[in-house]
Amino acid sequence: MELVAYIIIALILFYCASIMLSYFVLGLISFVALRKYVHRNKNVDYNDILPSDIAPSVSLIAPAYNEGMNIVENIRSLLSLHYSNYEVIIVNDGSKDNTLEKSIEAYDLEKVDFAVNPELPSQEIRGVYKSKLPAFRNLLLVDKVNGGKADALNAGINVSRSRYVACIDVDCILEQDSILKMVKPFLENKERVIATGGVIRIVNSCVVHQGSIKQVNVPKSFFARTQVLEYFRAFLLGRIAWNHMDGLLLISGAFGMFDKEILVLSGGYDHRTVGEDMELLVRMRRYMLERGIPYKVGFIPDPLCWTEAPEDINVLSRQRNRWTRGTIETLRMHRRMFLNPKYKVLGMVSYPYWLLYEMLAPVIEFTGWIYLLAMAVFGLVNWPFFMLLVVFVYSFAVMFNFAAIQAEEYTFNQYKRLKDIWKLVGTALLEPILFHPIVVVAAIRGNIDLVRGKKKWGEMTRKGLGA
Amino acid sequence: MNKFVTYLENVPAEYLWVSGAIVLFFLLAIISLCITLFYRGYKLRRAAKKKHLLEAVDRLVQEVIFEGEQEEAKRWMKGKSQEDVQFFLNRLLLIGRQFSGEYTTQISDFYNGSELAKLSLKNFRSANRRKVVRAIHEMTDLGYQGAEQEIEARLQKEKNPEIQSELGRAMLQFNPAKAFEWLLKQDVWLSEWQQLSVLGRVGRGSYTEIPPLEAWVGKNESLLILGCRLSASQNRYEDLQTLLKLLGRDSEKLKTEAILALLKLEYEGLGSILQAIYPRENKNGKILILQSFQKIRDALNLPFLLDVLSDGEFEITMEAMRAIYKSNRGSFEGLSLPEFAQTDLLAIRKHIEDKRI
Repeated sequence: MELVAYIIIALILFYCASIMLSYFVLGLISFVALRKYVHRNKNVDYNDILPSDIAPSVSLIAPAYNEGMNIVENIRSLLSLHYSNYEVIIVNDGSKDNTLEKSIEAYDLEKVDFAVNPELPSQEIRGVYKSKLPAFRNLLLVDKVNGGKADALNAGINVSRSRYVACIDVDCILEQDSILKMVKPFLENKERVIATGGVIRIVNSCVVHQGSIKQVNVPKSFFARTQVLEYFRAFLLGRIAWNHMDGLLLISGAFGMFDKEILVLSGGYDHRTVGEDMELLVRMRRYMLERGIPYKVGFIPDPLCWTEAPEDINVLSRQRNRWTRGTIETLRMHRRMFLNPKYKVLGMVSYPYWLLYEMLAPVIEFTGWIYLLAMAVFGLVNWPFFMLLVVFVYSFAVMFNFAAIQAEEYTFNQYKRLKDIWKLVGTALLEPILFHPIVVVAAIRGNIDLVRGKKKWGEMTRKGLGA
Repeated sequence: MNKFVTYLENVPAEYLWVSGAIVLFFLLAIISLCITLFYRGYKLRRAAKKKHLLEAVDRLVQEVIFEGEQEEAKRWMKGKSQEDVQFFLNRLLLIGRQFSGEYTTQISDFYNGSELAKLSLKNFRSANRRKVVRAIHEMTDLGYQGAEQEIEARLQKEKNPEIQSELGRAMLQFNPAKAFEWLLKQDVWLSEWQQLSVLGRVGRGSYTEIPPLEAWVGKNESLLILGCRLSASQNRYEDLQTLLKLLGRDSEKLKTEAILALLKLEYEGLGSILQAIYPRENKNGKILILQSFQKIRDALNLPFLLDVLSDGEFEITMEAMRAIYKSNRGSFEGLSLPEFAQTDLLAIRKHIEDKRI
C-alpha cells in the first residue's frame, strides 16, 4: 500500500515538475519572440499598403445568434475598419430575437438574388441582403436556418468572394488596423501562409463609443480580471512560443484569418465539434502536411480584438465546459497525429502537450483531490509536506502570473495607470486560489458531458458593451 | 549558524528541494514585479517629461514651419541633451509628414541647417539597428542633402535584411533608377508586402525610369512578378512581347501577373491566347482567364465562353456567365444558354442580372 502511494506521489510530482518546466520554457521562448517582434515592427509603414488597390481582398464573417441588443453597433464597428478592400458578412443564424429586423432597419437592407456557392455544408440560406445605401456597399447579411457557429461560418464562407476570410465573433471589437496587421503575415512569407491569429483582449469595463475603444480599463469584476491574466498567459506566454516553434494548434474563434482556398479544400468548419476553431486549424495543417506542401501559420502579438469575458460563474463554467469538450473532440478526431513524425512538431510536440497538459491536466488535478480525500480519511496524509507542496504550486502560479504582467508591460502596455498594475498583481495573488478551482471543476463537467454525449454549445449570456 | 546547519541536516531531502523551489519561485516573482514596476515608473517619468517638452517643442516646430523662424529653435537645442534633441527631431518628422510644398522646403532647410541632420547621420552610422532604421526614415522624409550618397554607399555593403529593405525603400525615393539597378544586380527576393510597398511608392511618385521587363527576366520570381506589376501600373507597352513570352512559364503566380499586365495594357490578341491556354490551366488559372474575358468584353469570345459552361463547377460557371453577360453588352438576351444544371444556371443568371449586388 505504501509503495503504491509512493509511486502515485512520485508520478504526480513528476507530472507537476514537467508541466512547470514546459510553462517555463514556453515563457522564455515567448519573451525572445515578443522582443524580436516588437523591434522588427516598430518602423513598419502601413501607409504604403493601406490605400493600395492591389491589397488582397478580405471577407469578415461574423455569425450572429440572438444579438439584437448590440447588432447595430457591432456592424458599425466592423464597417469602420481601416482597409481598402474588404467586405463584412453577417450571418444571422436563425436568431429568435430581432437581430435580422434591427439590421435591416438600421442599414436599409433589401433581399437580393444572390447565387450561393454550395461548396461547404450548411443549413438552408433563406436570403442574402444588401444595403441600398452606397456607404454600406461592403455589407452583406445572410439569413439562414439555425445550425450553430460552425454552420454559420460555412454559410458565410460560401457567400464570400475574397482571397482571405476572417472569422470573428460579431460582438468583438476590432482595432482599426487589425485587418492590415493580420494580412501582413500572408504577404511577407516565402511559404504559403494558411492562417493567422491575433491576441484577444478583455473589453469588460473599457469605455466603448461607437464601436471602438476609447479607454482601456482593468475590469472591475474579479472574474473578468482573472481572465485578463489568463489571456496574457495564454497569448503572450503561450501561443507566441508555439507559433515560434511552428506548433500552434489553435487560433481563437474570436478572430482568425484564413486562406480561403485551403480552408475550403480542407473541408471548412466541422459541425461535429464544439471546438470548431481548434479543429479547423489542425485539419488545415494536416491537409498541408499530408500533401507535403510547404506552409506557415502566422500569429500577431498585437492586441487586435477585444471580447467580453463572462463575469458570471455559471456562464464562465459553461464556456470552460465547452472549451474542454472542444479540445477533447479535436484531439480524438486527429489522434493519428499523436507521436507521428510525419506531422513534425505538431505530432511530436504540440499534440502530446495538448493531450498531457491541456486535456488531462484538470482530470489529473481532480483525481489528486479525490486521492487526497481518501488518504485523509485513512489518516495517511503527511500534512506538513502536503502544505509545502501546495505553497510550491502556488508560488509557481504567482511567478507565472507576474511574468505575464511583465510581458504585457514590456510590449503593448494597454493598462496605462500604475494602479492598474497593482490591481492585476492583487488578482495574480488570488487567482490560483479563487479562480483556478472553478476552471478545473468546469473542465471535469466538460469531460462528463462529453461522455454523456452532450453536443450543445451552452448559452453565452453577455452583458453587452453598453453595460 | 551551526544550529541552523544541524537543523537543515535533519530535514528530509524532499522538504529541502521543495522549499528551495518555493524560495526560487517567489524570488523570481518579486524580481519580475520589480522589473515591471521599474519599467512602468520609467515610462511614467518619461511621459511626464514628454508632456512638458511637447508644448515647447511644438511651438518651436510651428514657428519653423509657418514663420520661418529657425534661430530660436537652434538656440533651444544647444543646451539640451541628445534625448531631448531626438524628441524634437521625432516631432519635426511627425508634424512635417502632414505638410507639402513650401512648408516641406522650410522644414528641410531647417533640418539640414541645424544639428538635427548631424544627429540623424550619427544614428545612421551607429551599430544599433533600431537607430539606423529610424535615421533612414528621418533622412528620407526630412530631405537630408547628402542622404542619397550615404544611402547608396551603405546599400552596397549592408548585410542585414531589415536595414537593406529600408535602404532600398529610401533609395527608391531619392533615385528610383539606382534603386531598381541595385534590386536587379543583387537579385533580392521581395515578399508580396515589399512589392506592394514598392508599387505604392512608385504609384505616388512620378517615376518613369523603370528598367524594361526584359531586364527582370532571369532574376528570381519575385522580381519578375514585380516587373510585370510595374509594367501594368506604368502602362509600358514596350514590354508586351516579354509579357507574352511569360505566358509560357510554368509558375501560376507569374502567369497570373503576366495576364493581368496584358489586360491592363489592353493587348488586342489576348482573347485568342487565353482561349488557347485555358484547357491547360487549373481552377485558379481558369477563373483568372474568365475574369479577364469580363474585362475584354468582346463578342467574338462568346462561342468559347458558352462552351465553358459545360464545366459544371460553380465558380467557373459563375465567372463564365459574368464574362458572357459583359461580352454580350450587359445582357443574356439573344443567347441560347445550355439546358444542363439549369437550377444553378438560373440562380447565377439572376445573381448577375441583379444590379444591386
